[in-house]
Amino acid sequence: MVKPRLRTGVRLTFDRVRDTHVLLFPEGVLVPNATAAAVLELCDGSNEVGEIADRLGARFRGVRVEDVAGVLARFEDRRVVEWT
Amino acid sequence: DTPELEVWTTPDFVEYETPMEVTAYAARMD
Repeated sequence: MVKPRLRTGVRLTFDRVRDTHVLLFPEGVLVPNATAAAVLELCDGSNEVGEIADRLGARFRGVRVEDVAGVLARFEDRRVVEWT
Repeated sequence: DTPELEVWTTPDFVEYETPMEVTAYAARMD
């Protein structure tokens, strides 16, 4: 149970009007900032937290694995992410 | 060229969870 993935019924899409990613799920809508969206894009059940941070390092400067773990915990609290 | 990296900022999000909030949000989507 170390690899996060989006729960069934949760979909990450892009809102062209607002120029931002949007996470759609049965109970509501969640609007992530750019780094949170980047984390979500890698939540496919194949990456551990450290791997997600490493991959984000190819795009962002100063990635903190603690930030990745922290936002994933919040996503889990909101029931949009589960661990495999 | 080495691609320019974006600056990492703390991941965060805003949630709209009441039906009224979600409807209002969806109405503004394309």
